[in-house]
Amino acid sequence: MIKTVQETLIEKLNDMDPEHVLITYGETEYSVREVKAQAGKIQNWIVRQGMEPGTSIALIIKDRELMIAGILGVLFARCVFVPFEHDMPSKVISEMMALAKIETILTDDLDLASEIGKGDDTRFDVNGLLKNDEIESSLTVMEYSGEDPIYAYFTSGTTGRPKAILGQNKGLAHFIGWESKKIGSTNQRVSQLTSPSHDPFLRDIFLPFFINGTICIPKNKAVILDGKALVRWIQASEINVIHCTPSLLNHALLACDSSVAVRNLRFLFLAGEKLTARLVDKCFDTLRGNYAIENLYGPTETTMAKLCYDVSEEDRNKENIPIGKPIDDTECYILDDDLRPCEQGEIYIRTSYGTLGYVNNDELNHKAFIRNPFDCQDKVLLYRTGDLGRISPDGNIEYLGRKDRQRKIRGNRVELSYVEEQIERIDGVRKCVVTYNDSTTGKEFLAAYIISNENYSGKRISDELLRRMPSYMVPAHYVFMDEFPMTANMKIDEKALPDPTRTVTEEISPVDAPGDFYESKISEICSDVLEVPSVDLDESYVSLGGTSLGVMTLISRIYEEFSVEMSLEDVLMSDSLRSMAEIIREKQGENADDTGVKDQRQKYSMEEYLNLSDSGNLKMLYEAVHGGKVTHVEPFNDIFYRSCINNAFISALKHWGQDELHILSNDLALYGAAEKGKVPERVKYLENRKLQELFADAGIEMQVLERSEDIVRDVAGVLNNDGLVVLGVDCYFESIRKDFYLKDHWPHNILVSGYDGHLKEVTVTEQTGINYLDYHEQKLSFLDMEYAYQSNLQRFPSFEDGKSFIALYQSSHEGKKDISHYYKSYTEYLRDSMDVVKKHLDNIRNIGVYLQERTQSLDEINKEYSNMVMLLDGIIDSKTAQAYVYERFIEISEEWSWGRDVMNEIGKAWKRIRNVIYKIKLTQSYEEESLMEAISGLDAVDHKERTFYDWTVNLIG
Amino acid sequence: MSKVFNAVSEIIYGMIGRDRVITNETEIAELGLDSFQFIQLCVQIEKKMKIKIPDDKLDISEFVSISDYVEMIETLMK
Repeated sequence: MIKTVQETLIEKLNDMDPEHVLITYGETEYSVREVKAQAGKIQNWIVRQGMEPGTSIALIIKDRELMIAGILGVLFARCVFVPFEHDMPSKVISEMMALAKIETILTDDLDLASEIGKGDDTRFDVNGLLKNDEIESSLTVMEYSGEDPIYAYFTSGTTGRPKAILGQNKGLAHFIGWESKKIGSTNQRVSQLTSPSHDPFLRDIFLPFFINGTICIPKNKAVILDGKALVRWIQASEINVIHCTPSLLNHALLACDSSVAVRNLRFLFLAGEKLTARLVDKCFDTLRGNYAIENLYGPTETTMAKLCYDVSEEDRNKENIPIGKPIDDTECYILDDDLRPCEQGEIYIRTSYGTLGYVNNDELNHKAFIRNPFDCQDKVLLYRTGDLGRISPDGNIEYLGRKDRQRKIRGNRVELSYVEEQIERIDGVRKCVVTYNDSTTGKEFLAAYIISNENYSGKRISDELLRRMPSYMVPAHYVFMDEFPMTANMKIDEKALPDPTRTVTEEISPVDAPGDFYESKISEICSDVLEVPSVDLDESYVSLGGTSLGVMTLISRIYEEFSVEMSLEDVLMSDSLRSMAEIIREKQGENADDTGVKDQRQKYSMEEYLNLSDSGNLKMLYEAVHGGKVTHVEPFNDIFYRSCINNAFISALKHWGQDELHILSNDLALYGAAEKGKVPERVKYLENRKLQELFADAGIEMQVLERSEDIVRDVAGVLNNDGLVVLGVDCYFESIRKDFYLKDHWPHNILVSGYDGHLKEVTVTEQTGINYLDYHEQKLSFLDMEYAYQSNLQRFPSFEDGKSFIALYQSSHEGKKDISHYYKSYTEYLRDSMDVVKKHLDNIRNIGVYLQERTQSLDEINKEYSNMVMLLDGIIDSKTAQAYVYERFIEISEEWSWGRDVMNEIGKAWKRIRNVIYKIKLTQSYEEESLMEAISGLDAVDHKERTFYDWTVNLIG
Repeated sequence: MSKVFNAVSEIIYGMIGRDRVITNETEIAELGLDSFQFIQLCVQIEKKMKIKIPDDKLDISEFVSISDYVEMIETLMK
């Protein structure tokens, strides 16, 4: 059981020599005795005010020593301290207070505090309180618990809106305890450089208590902001331990013209931002002394830091400084999107010493803190950090950037930090930030903001980058600055960077850079091969009229010129001569300098292209390989109609302006025959008009392809002609269908409405699982589609009468028909088919007998379960559909509301039987009475059906 | 938040995950449960609250919001 923060503090305060200097603030020193007395007074006053334990108190105090005393006082009173930097804008403080529901303010400047909050909160002057002799200064003994909330800190994350995080007593105690152990010695002088409104502040002030040390606070902010002054202060104050961000360290180092001695420094804890090898290198070179650099990582949500890496001299040359291994009592996992452990993925942290989560934001808590996927009994939740990481063989974790710092530009994945690092490698570049933009002009581009010693031009930088990375990663805009805007906690403030399209910058389209060696050579070679005087670099080989024979010549000329082997697919994959030049450049550079990023795209095998004989084929193949087209089709999710193929048909119909009644009113549902001893037939449908005719009537042409030899080419062909494809597939191979994927073979139809030759995927309308009425657009890889199509052809050749590939095209724009048209055709068809319909009503009784017989015992139910449920589902769906149609007919005549209600009642009766069977299956407890009662409901069903049809006969004549 | 509400929402979270927060006003249709899952919920609640839900109330379309369902359960418990 870990001691609470208060218990440890009291122990230490009592242990220490009362005259020991606990806090040094500028020139002033404060002893243990003094600080203890202040804290005691504040505690007693809070208790006197009647503030209950757990009350949140905002501390807006300019005097840093008073701030510390205030925090202690609140802590000892078992309340929650919420420190604010006194010069934060009042509006911001007010917003944060409202967010965390804080109503009490302790301040040393009542005028300042008057602008904050709503006015109905309580403000107290800490100075006045301390002068009050009637308040006891010795600490009152109280009970504390490790699970108590003790502080609230705000984090803005990526959305910029602040969120309040409630810190837990044992969380803080645990971290400071760990840090104390790490330092290993007592009586250390610890710098206090962090602003009180950021949680690393807690490290600055609590660590010294735990190790009988001294909190050293610079006189004012100016000392920190001036790099030279800061270093001098560190030396003069004989600082042993520093906590800061890499940016602050960088800032200090930049101010040093030469190396400086830091004789007393023992530990340098860096956290809050990625630590680069360059900074480590610079640090070791500039700050001479005998100290350890510790790289800490951890979000505010899991309390301070949770991973630590001991940086050493060898790390100067590393690519990436690791963030290390979990500290005591902490586990760290790298998981993929399915929460499975992987080598590279998102970082999750498990700790019993985390915070209490976000204040008043259950939704966010649920999103960010998840149940342990490896142990469902585990009470401790895992925190999803939103950071990407990788485990290296030695068990250290590397930080790979924010999940949201990976962007896609023109379809290609770019890791912004990678581009920054490459720019920083250029001689003279001190720091760089790369941002992704697509707002002002609508075009997507990357912008680089650079601080550099050398007077570079954007072009110079981009030329250099083109040597090291694919052109799509090279920023188009370059802004040179003297310094970057910083946030209050010394991190780079990206939002404050100037708009690159508005400032005077150089816009470089690296691809436009004239005189590019590779591009001019390719131009030359292509003009030769194509026998034209000149070529446009933005066109592709194929679009310029290249033939398959010519490709061979092209490839051998490239080999002669560059000693680089281009494959046929390389040529086809290039959507322009420029990108072909790029590929050649990359291939040349591959052995020399391996900075290439892996091409994400799937590649087709060579064999597939070997039989090309004419340019017609090549062009079509090229289009399928390269092209893309997506038509957005609204899925039809009102009801399940007959089978999945119909939901696809209906959405296509509606997409082209027709009413779903066009199909729904074409059919009459009949109860299937139920012969003794056999499984009854499923619901049958009488169709008024054949599908082809029905579509033609709606201006839609339906073409059935018996068998496709190249599904990607054929699907692309239909889509390129503005058509849609209804495809028969075997769900076993659809990785988006978790219910059947690699589990069971199941025939199904999906609507294909788009394809993307670059990403090698199609857009399909699919449901989440077999009983989910939630068809929605999803992406399916080409490969999945091929396997699923082929398997369906083989295994289920007669599914939907062998119509496995149906192309639909809009041949003419037909207006929507009036509902009276559908009413007429439906009722006429019903009248003509009434005998058949009624005859099939006799099957109800037989189905009842079947159900009765097969539910005689639990065993029988288990055996016959799927047949029964499928049968019942089909019937239930048909009744729902009937009710749906009759609901529409109310427009024609109000009387049909009765028809709709009857169908709903009939549906309910069938549902009851199915639900009882479901229940028995789940509980494995045989409920005879329930079964009997449910099945006996079929008598009423029979009666209602007959009554209904008699009624319709009357109505329609 | 009543005991029944907590039990019901916990069971549903177990089925669909915690991505969305369930309140009394949440519409059951929006939760994306199919009819089988609804029966699973009913069976779990019957066990937990030691009640029996009448067969005609095993139909998901009988209930609009979570509170409708919770109310029904609470009535059965009396």
